[in-house]
Amino acid sequence: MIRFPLSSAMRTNFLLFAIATASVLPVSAQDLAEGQALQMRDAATHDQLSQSLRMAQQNDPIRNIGPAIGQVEEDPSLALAGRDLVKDSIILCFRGNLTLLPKRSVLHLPESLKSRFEAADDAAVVPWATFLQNNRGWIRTLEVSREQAMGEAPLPAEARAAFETSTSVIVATFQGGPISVKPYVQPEIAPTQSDETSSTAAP
Amino acid sequence: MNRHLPLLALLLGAFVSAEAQSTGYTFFIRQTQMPGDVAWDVPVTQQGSQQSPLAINPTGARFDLWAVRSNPLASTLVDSTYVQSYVPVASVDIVSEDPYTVIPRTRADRPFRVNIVMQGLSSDPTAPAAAKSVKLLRHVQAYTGSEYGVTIDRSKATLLSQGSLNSNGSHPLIYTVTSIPGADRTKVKGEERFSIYSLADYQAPESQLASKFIQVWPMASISVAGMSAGHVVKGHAPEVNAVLTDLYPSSYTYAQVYEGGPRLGVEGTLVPGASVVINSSIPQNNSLRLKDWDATIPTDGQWTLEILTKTPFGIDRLAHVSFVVDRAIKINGTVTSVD
Repeated sequence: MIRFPLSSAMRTNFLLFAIATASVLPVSAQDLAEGQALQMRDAATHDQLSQSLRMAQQNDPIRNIGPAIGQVEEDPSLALAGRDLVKDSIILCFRGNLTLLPKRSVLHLPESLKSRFEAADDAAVVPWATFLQNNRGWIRTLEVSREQAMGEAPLPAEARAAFETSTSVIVATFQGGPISVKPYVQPEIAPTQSDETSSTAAP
Repeated sequence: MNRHLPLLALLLGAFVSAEAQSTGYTFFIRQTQMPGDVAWDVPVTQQGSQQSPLAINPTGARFDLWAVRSNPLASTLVDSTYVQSYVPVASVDIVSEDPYTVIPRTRADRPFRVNIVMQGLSSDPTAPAAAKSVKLLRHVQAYTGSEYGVTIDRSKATLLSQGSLNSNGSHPLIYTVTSIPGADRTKVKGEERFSIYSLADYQAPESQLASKFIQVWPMASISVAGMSAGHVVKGHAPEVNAVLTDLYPSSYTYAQVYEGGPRLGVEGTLVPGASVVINSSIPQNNSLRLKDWDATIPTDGQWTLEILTKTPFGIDRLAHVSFVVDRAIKINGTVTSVD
């Protein structure tokens, strides 16, 4: 007859916790048959756990590492709640497949293809690369630079002229991935010294 | 700023490959240049890691991992990380006694450890506060009814405590027991989430740097019918039924008997057919039926029947009952003579 060790350890001590973690074994009937000497105890009671909880709450290690700073009255995790990729995306859907693109990544949308920007009920979601591969007949891509995407550089005039008359959907991509493109805003030209002189000299 | 930043792809990739095929989800990684006006869907393979070729703005970029389900079309934010030139890098890891790898998990009565590793915090006293310190948040959220964490609204989680970290390196936090709310502490179920957030500054709001949660499952409970303490077995052993509730997702529950009174740590004789093996992602209910188990109690005397459950945390005795076997037939009679 084998007696299991009856240690009451594995509580708060870090070292013992580590030992206990290291001794974790996959559970199976075979383990039991091999006589693995796991700790045996009566199941903990509500009263015991309530006492443990009271002690744990008095010694919450987060409170010991340093007082909270910044906007402590607000929960920043709530900013993550309510976000929805579907709502923040353009939907492309055709022949039972559907994919999502960042908003403002579609540079040209022919009137005849507008129906493909609505989700069908039974469409399967696929990655952009898969969708593009299956729909090259009506989707073309225009590779853009980071500066063009950020609205810091214009798209080439010849490219714009070409896709404005295209019968295909034109999607902006950066290294193959669809990317939103901000409208280019020409920077204001600062007045030169001579301009200022001449303007001030004017009557 | 031409710093190219690592993507989340390695860990996410493993998740993608395993889950996408089994659950019908498609995963997207979207890099959003803060303050949120340009978004790029990162083309990634299912496994591996890579550098993002899209240099981030001075105001930083956010990387989001989304899982999108078809029919009905719906998205779930799986993970989110904010990166910026002087905002530090954080990682959160949660370790329990259960070696289950999909989601860290433990039981309502067991401890767990949170490992936080900080890199890039500045020790320059003139640096902005967001470069010198981060916030650590602890949220708890109970699963109610038949909820097991799949469809819960995590915006309803309770912010239990918060603190700040201002030094690089490893910061282990030890929790002896969960603080998930619940009237019966043995039946608590839910999750605890530990998150690192950057401090707000003039360039960006408080943003998540890293986050991880652990699921906490209730303790198993039992009700036994068919035998009570002091029961005397005179003929056949009675049929005993045990109803088991909330068996741990990785557990082996069985009945054993041994001679004598109840003693912890005794390895007795297994009752044939009275065992349950659970290998699941959530707790399970089940039952044990002891029938025709006379062979395990062959001799007269005191015996003890125990129901035990073996989990990664050890062996818990859920119930025990001592009884007496008395099969000897006593004949009371007298012998008389006519003499």
